[in-house]
Amino acid sequence: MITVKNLVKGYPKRGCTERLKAVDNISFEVRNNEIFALLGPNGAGKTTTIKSICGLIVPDSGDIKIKGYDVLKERKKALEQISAVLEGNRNLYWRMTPIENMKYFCGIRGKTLRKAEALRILETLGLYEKKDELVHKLSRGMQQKAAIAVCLAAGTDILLLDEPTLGLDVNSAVEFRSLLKNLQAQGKTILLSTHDMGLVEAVADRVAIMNNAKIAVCEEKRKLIDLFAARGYKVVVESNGSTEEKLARLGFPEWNKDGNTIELHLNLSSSKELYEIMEKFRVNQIEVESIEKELVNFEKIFISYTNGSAKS
Amino acid sequence: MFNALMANIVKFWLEFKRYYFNTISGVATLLIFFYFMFFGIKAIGGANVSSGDTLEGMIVGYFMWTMFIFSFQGVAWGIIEEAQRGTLEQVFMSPIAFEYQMLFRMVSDFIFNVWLAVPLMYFVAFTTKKQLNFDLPTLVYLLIVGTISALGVGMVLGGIALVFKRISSFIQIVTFGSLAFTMFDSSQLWYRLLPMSQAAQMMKKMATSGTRFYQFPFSDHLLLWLAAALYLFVGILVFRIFERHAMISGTLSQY
Repeated sequence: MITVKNLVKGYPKRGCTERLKAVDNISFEVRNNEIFALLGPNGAGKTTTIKSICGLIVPDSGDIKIKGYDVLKERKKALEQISAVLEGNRNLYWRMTPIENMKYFCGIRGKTLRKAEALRILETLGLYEKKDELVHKLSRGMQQKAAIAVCLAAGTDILLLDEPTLGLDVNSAVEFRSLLKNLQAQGKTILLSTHDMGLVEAVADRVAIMNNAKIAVCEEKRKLIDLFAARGYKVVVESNGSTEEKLARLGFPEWNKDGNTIELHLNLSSSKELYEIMEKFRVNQIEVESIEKELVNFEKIFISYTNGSAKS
Repeated sequence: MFNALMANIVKFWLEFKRYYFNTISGVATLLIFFYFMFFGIKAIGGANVSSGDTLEGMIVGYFMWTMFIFSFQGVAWGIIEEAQRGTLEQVFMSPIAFEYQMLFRMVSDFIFNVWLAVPLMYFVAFTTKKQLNFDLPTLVYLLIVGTISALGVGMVLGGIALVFKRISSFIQIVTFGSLAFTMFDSSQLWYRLLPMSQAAQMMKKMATSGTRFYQFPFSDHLLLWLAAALYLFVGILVFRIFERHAMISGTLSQY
């Protein structure tokens, strides 16, 4: 559905000729009917990527195709395939109702929106009761939904959502997750950029973790979690006078001491490595009390990639 | 395209209603400013700075100027406001090119401004005890074609707004400068090639001698359309250059 190939975008740095690379030679593909998440810390290049796909930023080099249409060369055709929420509730006219916003944005795309269709969309999003309320009177969560409603009214198969849960309270954010899943069930393909790990963990099929303008890893979410689950171990050893000194000598960077025990969190590249560590403990007379596989959440995976401790 | 035009007309009407205080204060300002000018000129003995040699001509000239400035300011302020609201990128993402969107906005602005300005013009004529003896179709024709050049100026300002964002001082300079465009009383050709000037010259003839649009010589019409086409073309060209610059530098939605 969306193909990004060797995308490069830099911005001039104030006061020097050097360019700040916002996106550095990234490539990925968003497949039909999947929820694809671009995950990364602030400044990683997510928004530049998503805006380049929307045709709002001209890249320095690289190709972006939407359903085969080149965003730069066949802009009109490419933009007909997508709709986006880029600035959340700021994407709306606040002195207009959700339904008026939907009709307006449909209109400027050259389409007409029937009232029945608009109401159906609002019903799906749980906004039917608020159809005649001015946007500025709605709660933040409702405004976010109204922005999605505008996006859906365009009738495109592909939705691009930039930081869709930003500023939402916990309940609204959780509700939003099921909304995205429902949209996927209706056949939509969703590309979202976020740093909301909970959202990614709950809804994404595939994830690209961006860091320092590059994609650190692009993989199916399930595989990433399995991979990290296979690598993560919690090892508890007995603490005596010299254990900490021995651990430092063996090159362990950190551990938690709790009374007579010391807890180590290991992120290993293979199970063989675990045996090697156990052998070192045996030779150095470090008593192992327990070994457990660690539960992995997406936050750990994200941090591993963004701090460089994990390699794709 | 028709849907896009209609969407802009409906939006204009909705915002016109919802921001009614702004609408009312705009009309009040227009009237107060006019009365100051009108009675000021009358008090100093009818100085020859009007769009005709009469105070009736001044009424027409003033409202023509307001139509002109509303038109080009509409685009420039529109872009600034949209960038501040966060809706600019949504409009840019439409498969229909942004310059068309701006064109449709100006058309909808124009429709509402004409509806507002013409009755107001008759209102001030009534309150100042002046008779407006001109042909309404001729007035509307001159306003429409004259405003096309304002559209070009608006596109230039809109383009500048996309890149530089805060251009309110510059808009004010152009606004006051444009007063001169509609008030030049010159037979020199280059004056008449300034935006709106030819329309103002023709309007002066209409106001002073009751000339109807079909009674103007062909050369006047040609010059009127030539100026309109020239400014529209230059406006779109300049806008595209600035738009491209904003898209390369990634500053489209910043404000």
